[in-house]
Amino acid sequence: MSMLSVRDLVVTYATRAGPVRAVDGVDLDIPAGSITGLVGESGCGKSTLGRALMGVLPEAGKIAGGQIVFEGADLVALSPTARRAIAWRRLSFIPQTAMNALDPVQRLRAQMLEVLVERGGLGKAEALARASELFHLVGLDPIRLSDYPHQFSGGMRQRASIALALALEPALVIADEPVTALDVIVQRQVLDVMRNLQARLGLAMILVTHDIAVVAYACDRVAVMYAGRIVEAGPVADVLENPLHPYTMGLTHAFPDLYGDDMTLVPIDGTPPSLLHPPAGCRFAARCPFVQPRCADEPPVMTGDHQAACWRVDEAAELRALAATPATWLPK
Amino acid sequence: MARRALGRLGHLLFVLWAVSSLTFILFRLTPGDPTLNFLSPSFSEETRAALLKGFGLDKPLWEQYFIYMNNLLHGDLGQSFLQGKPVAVLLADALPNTVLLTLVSLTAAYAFGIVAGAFLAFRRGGVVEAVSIPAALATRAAPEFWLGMLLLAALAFQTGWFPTGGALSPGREMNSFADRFVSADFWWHLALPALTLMLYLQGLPLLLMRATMLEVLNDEFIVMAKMKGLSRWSVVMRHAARNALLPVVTAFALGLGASIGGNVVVETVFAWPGIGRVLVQAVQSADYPLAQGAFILIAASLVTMNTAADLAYAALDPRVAVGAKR
Repeated sequence: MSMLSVRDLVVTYATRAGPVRAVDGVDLDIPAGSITGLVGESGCGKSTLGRALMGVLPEAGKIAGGQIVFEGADLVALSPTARRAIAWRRLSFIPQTAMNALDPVQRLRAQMLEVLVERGGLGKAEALARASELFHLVGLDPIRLSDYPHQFSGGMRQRASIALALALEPALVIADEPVTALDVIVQRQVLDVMRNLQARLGLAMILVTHDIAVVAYACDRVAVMYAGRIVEAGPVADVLENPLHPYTMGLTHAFPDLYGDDMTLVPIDGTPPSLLHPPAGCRFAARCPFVQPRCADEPPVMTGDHQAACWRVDEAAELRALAATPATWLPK
Repeated sequence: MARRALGRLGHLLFVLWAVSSLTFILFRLTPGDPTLNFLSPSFSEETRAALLKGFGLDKPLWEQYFIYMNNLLHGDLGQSFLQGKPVAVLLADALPNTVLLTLVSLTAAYAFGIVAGAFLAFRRGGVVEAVSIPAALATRAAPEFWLGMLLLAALAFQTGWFPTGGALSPGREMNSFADRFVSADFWWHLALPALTLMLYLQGLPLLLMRATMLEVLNDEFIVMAKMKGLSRWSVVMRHAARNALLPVVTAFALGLGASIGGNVVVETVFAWPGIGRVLVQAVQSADYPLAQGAFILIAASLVTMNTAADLAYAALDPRVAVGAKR
């Protein structure tokens, strides 16, 4: 049973040229107690999706349709007051802290207490004890609670953000590029902290990233997003080893393999389509080496546990063999 | 923090020394000598020499400089040529008037500007903004003397609600700050000049607050505050306004320093007996010691307020920690 089911979600941004459909008909199921990676290139709508789930979109953005069913309630239909009651208590967020996500003029203690007291309803003494406990949990010395964010390193800031996100014991945590600004060593430490705590507290997590290596290291499931849609989803091992969608096949060849032999990195030619006027059929059709006539007209649908939005899912094994040859991806 | 404040204080003392030395040099560079400027040129050579000797002006420049600095350190700014009173006394008489005028108008301007600026940022777009931004700009851009004259014409000459000038009704006298504070007559006289200055000063904090607030409202930590489900009040006041306030505080302290010397126009229009008016009169009548004293006082208050702004900024923004950790 999924704790979060997104159905046909559409998020648009108002622009002078018209509404841009940044998220366009996303279906996504997040099972309880697992980490799901949401992976895709810049501008594919993954961060917008994460923010839409939190109910805080930029001024120009709005949810134009669909459902977000979380613990039995449709968040899209909820009143702002009812929405706020859930916010952070059941559903919290780990930002990319390089982006000034902690208030620069307040000590970490104040920022922890704010959440614990104002949202958690704890007394001050209780909240202080809990703040120390949380810092301990993420591997920070509680003494650092009296520091300001600028006195922290990037990794420490990320740990503090994790502590904040876990403060009220939420059921689901959305992490938006949580390790993107960190070097690989610290990336691994922070991912370990997240994974340990996720397993220990039994929460569900969505990890938004553009880095397939992060997904492979930290996630149980993965959803691949392309041009506002999920194109493939399933258990990490299945998706990365036996990709069904040509885009996923292309992606796996575009990243270096740490443990494998020397390999030629093959880029996917072209750019994603404009989301102002998205194509009617499969959005990857224009870049897909295996494109067929029907791909341009009819959007493919997804079914099953490991699923992909491609008309040629049944031929995936053959296509994978083809995709392994760099020549397949050369511009025509 | 204490060490930092001490360092700043040393800095302040150095600048004060430089300012007073510069003033000394500048006044020695004025053409002619004081005897020609304030006494009759028809004096005989002996009288002139005696006068120069009397003022100590026959001594070598470096000796004059030491005497001047020594006197300055003892608070002795010399005698006014014209009024025959010590400069320090004349300035001390004028200072409370200027300080009160500045404090009242600046505080009112910044209180109004900060609140209105935050509100306008919060309610961006729409009629309120379309009306109030040009209005704030217009009062900011209008010359102070013109604004003052309009207010004088409307509220003093036409209606007689407020006095046309001065700090007190004829026949009344005040000496201390406290006297002024409890005097309704003083506040009644203060109203129009303070209103003029306030209208002139409010534009800067208003526009500055609005601009920084708009910037801060787009910051990631504001998005986070909303995600946390914090109340609107917490988001806007505790996080957005607190961060947007930083540049406004600097502007306030600088404005305070600048106004003490910069009230010249308003003080003249309303015949307000403050430092600015003393300075204008001293310059007009070539009363050098008085002008020199006023200059030093104005420069000192500007520099002091600069330092105060620096220290306040550090208290408000922990990231500014110059010299705190070395």
